[in-house]
Amino acid sequence: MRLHFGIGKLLAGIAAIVATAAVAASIWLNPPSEIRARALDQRRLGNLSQTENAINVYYSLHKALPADLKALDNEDNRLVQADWHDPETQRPFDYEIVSESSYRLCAVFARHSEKGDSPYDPSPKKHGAGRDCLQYSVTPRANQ
Amino acid sequence: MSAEVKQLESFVKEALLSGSSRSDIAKALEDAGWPVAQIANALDAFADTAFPVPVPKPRPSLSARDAFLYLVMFSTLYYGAWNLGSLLFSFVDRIFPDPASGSNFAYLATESQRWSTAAVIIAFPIFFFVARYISRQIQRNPFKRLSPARRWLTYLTLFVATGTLLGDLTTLVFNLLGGDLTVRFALKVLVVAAIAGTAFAYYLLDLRKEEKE
Repeated sequence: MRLHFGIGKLLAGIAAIVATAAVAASIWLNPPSEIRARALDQRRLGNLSQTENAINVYYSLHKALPADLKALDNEDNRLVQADWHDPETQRPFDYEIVSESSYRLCAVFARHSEKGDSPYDPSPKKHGAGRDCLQYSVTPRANQ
Repeated sequence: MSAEVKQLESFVKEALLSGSSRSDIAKALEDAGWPVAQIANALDAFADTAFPVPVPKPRPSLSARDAFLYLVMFSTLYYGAWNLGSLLFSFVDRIFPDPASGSNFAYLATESQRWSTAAVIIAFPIFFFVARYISRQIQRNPFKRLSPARRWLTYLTLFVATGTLLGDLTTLVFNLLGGDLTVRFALKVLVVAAIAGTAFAYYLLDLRKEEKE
């Protein structure tokens, strides 16, 4: 009987240790700061992709790239509206025209992009940690 | 309460009325072949006082309070065990990735891992706290061991653990027969067996202790 009591306590102790270790390992593998950084980068990429779409529409309307991102806001067409600001700092993305039909958008990312960050995006953009620029080119629409 | 127990208790009552000592009654019943635990229970149904008529003691019944405590204890056990299993599974998946499942969903995997972590953080402390509270109560009043809520839920837990082990072992044999035993799979079987086996062993010992008392 003493023995049984001892085994019971031992089992409970092992269970407590395993649970604590599993929790610690999980938090160590996915630190909250890392999860937040990934979420912020996802929102950044979302705004970048909005901006890309808006520039595409602008291009199909004007047959030219906008001179700056503010030009997007001056349009009446709602499809040209986009949030071209960083979700965290609210600073506008840097917009650099590379050629007649290509341009770059730059943002400051919290972390390096990783495979599996955005499972529903078939071709997720890769970016480094810190300031990085993504290259885009406008795709003239078939119906234009 | 079964007819047998009623019969036993009315015998004890009459014997006490006739002035027999508790040890004599216990001896007579033991000679008649009654199990010691049942004799003790029957004698325990009456207070050991000098009052001329045997004084009945309150019986353990399915009190709402007991039911609440045991339901909290066992539900946090199930919830915590399930999520601990899922957390350990996620580690196995991470160490031995399955080539058939795309790494595209790594983000979703960490999301579910985060949920399991949160559930374990919440469920286990509550479970241990309530379990300790209950066991202290029982130490103070061993009578509470007979609480029907305790017995039913403990046996139910044994049943669930048995079912889990049966399913787990069947899956193991099924994959063995299919010649398809990967480290990843074996580790998952082991995780389920360890969790269900621990719960099973713990509550089986608990019931045995009770039957000995």
